[in-house]
Amino acid sequence: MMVSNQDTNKQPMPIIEIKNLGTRFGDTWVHKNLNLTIYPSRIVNIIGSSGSGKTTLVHEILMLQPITEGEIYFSGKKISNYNIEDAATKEILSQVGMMFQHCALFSSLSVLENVMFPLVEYTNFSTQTIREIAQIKLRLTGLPDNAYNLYPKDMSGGMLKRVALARTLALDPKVIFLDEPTAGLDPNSANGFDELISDLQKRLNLTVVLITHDLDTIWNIADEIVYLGEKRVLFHDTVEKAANAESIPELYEYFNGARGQITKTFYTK
Amino acid sequence: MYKEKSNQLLVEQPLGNMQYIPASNTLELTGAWLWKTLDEKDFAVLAKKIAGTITQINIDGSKIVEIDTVGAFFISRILSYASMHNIKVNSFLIPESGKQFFERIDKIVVAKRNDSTDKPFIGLVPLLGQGVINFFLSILEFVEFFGQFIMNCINFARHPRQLNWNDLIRTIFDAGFKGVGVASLLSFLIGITLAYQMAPQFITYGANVYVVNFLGIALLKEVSPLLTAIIVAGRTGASITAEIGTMKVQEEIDAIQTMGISPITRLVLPKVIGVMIALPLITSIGDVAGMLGGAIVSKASLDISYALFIERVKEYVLMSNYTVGIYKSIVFAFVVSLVGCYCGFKVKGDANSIGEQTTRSVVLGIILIVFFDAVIAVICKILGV
Repeated sequence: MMVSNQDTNKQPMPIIEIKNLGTRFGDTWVHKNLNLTIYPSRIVNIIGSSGSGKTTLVHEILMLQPITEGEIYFSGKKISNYNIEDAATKEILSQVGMMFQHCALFSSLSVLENVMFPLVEYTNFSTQTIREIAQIKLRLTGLPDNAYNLYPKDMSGGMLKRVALARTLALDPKVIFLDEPTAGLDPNSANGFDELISDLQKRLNLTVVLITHDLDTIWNIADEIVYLGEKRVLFHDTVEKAANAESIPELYEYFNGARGQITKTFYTK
Repeated sequence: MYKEKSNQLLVEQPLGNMQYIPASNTLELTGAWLWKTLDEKDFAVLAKKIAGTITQINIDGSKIVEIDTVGAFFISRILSYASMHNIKVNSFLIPESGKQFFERIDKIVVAKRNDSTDKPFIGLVPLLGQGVINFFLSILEFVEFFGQFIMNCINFARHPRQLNWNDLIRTIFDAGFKGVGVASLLSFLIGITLAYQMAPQFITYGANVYVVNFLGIALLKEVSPLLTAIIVAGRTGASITAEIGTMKVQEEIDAIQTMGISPITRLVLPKVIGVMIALPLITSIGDVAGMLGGAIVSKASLDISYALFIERVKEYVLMSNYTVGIYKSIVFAFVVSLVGCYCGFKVKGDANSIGEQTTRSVVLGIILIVFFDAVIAVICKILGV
């Protein structure tokens, strides 16, 4: 995190800037003229109906998916090169972390080795140092010590999510992407995970991009809502405004449907 | 720091630096303290410089511009180095905005020092013992699996309609039709090689025509069934293991079981039966291909016409040579497919495990094929076939 306070008055530089993005699969356009700007140190939640291209959008920022047209800038640098061996690509990818929906932990490595993996690949620190750094990350996510030598198959869903988050944080990224972080967790674990995300966001000064349908998570921690529809960003503002956006019926329904109503009344009273 | 130079060149932040100033007895920390900008070697250099020379120090980190977990970890390491070597830290400065962050990481690092979370080291003797125990356990497991399979077969004999015909036909197609090319090509080449290698021996004794008798026994009874079975072990055995193993990892096997369907009846039986049908068929085709190869060489280097070759085959090659070969291939098919299925069920939930079990399936399959070949040879001798 930056510790100098010289430019607090200025509007910070956007960390992710998407301009006129278009994505085509075969004959269908998933995105067309999509514009989105994400500023640092925010928790941004991308929502939208299934098939609206939320995951595709994140994959494009992470260079997992080539874009058809338009540009994506990360910290002012254009993301265009898909050569994973390219030094500039690595430099960008080292600043982002992605937590996949099903955790995507390496099943043949232990928990600690999973978190050590990116550090071993990227840095020239000694193994002992890397191990200690990995232990810090695991502690930050609140994983009990006796789980460090377990393998992913021996762990519960909630623990797996914590390990996945620790691995996402391994290289101290500026931005982390979380795909359905609370899916499949019991309400207590989900609440705990929400708190963990918001706590880490503050402590490590992270930019968090969430993809979730969990209304509790949205109300609890999200600063901004990005609603994808009609192949572009239809709405980008705070949660309160999203919940009262009567001009966009689908979005209004999202927050004021049978389920949404209960959560809305709970969090807005 | 980055492992690779080309990446390191792109880092924009200033390098993290530590400098000991003897005049003011101050350790000055400057620049960005990030994993990208810190070099672990600097710490060793610093430690060497100040070790044993001082008893107290001031640490000034107020000029640090950026800090991450790794930077905080290294600062914490300096502090703990000082306390370990009885160096008193008189003053410790860090930018106000980074202070809370550092303290949080420092707390974790200090707490961690008190307990070890390293992997337990396993000695050679326990490792060996574990290996032996695992070996016997795996035999026991195979026996259990075999027993289950037999029970399911008996059950199936009562209700034959439960068989998954699609899977059966697909197995026959995959193991048989798709494998027939490579199997017959190999038999053909072996037929050529055998006849070609033996030709000089037969010529020496003027016994040219006996090459047909030789090929009849060697190919039909021994080489063709063995070779084909080994190819099937490599192709089909491995694919069965990988298929069932992947299903196991994705909990599909559990899903079948919760529907009250026996995974063995549903998955194993069609595969075993399918391979047992396919393998004798491609062995027969392999027999023909091998004899064809032999006939071509006989014509070329032993002067035996095709008509004479066929005549000799009819007269001197016993039907039993062929039938023994076919019976063998049925046994081999059973062994290969059952081992393939067993190894598939043994897959644990990680990616390594599938590769491990697939290797095991092929190796074990081939070993058992050769073993049963020997057993059948002895049985044939006793029976006088």
